[in-house]
Amino acid sequence: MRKLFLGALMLWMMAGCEPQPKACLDWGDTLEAGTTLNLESCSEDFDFLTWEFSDDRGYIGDNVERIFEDETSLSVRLTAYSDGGYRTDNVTHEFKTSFRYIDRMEVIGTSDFASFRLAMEGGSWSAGGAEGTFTEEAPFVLYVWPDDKQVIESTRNGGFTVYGVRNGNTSNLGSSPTYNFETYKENPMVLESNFGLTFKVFWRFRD
Amino acid sequence: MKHFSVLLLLFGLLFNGVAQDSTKVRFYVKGSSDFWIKLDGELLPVRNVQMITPGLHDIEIWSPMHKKYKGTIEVPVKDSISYYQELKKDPEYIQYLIQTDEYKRKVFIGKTAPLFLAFSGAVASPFLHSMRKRWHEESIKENFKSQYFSSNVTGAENVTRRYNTVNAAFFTSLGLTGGGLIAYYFTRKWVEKLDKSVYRQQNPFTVEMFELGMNPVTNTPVVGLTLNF
Repeated sequence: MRKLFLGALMLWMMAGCEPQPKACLDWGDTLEAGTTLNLESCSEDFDFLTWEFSDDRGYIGDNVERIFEDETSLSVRLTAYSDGGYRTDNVTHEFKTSFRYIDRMEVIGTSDFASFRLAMEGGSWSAGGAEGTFTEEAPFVLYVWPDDKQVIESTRNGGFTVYGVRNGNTSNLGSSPTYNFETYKENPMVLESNFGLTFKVFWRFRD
Repeated sequence: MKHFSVLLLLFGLLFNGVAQDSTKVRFYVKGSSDFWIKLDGELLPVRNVQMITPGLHDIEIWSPMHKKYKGTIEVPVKDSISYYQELKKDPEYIQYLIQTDEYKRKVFIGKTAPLFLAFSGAVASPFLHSMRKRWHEESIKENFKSQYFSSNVTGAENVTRRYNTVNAAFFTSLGLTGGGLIAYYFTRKWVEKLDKSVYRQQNPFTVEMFELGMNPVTNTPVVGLTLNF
């Protein structure tokens, strides 16, 4: 009888031992604004998660799908619960939200153009002194930032076109495909032109 | 003379005038299922139908757990009669019943009840623990929802109330298990030392000794029969 009760007690205690959950967030410091994000965690040994953002929004689930409409600074408190919710672990992560801005265009290859011009919907930017041979390590750089008017809007499709100016004549060196910026997040966006030149357009978040 | 004899024989057959030397007596004895009868000092076979010669007889009847009845029986000249006799319970047997009840009551208090409570608690606690976990999880989620995106505060309160109920039941089951085991631990010696009552009765007509006692393992009454020579 005594052994039976001890066995039952041990079985019950073993069944009651839940592993300690571990809350974890491995995002960067910045999340993109204006687009639908699927936020995931790197938590372990949890049964369910709660997400409490400092803008008074809360979510329950393994991941969160939400849009940050504006650029702002926020924090999120992630709580990982064990089965039954008796054991918890939480982590608070501070981050900011930012739209994507065109940072610069790098040109690689041998150029006999005096200048390049990058054109996108909403603006164009030029830089001279473009003659020469440019490598990955020492590319020709056309800076767009800190002009922050050029936002890659996730709600729109778009691309870019590069022009070269030589002897007063402007040549179209090529156009990128039309990207769906909702899903296309490559950085840089690369265009191989027929002139033996490679154009890399980089984007960035606001500091 | 020859014709007269034949007529006498026919007359006898016609009126069934054969002489009757015993009467079938059917005994109804209110006692236990078995009973013994002694008629005029002679032990009769153990059955409830006897053939007895008409007339007045001394009779003794005994059944286990009852007092021996002693009296007379007037058996008429008939085909059959019924004889009813209620035996009185043996006072020692009544005392045995009282002691047995007392013994059972003490065993129940000192062993059965604590172990039953401990067992019930041990069986119920895993189920209640499972329910408690589920309702605790629900209450966390509902409270979170009511804080952030649901106006259903009543729903959260209901879930919390259910959790509190199940939680109380769970700890009650733990208390029953622990309390039952502790109680049994302290009472088991006392229970082991309890005297098991035994009832013995000698069959007054035979050498048999009838015995009623308690099975020490199952604590249920057992019947024994001992032959003493």
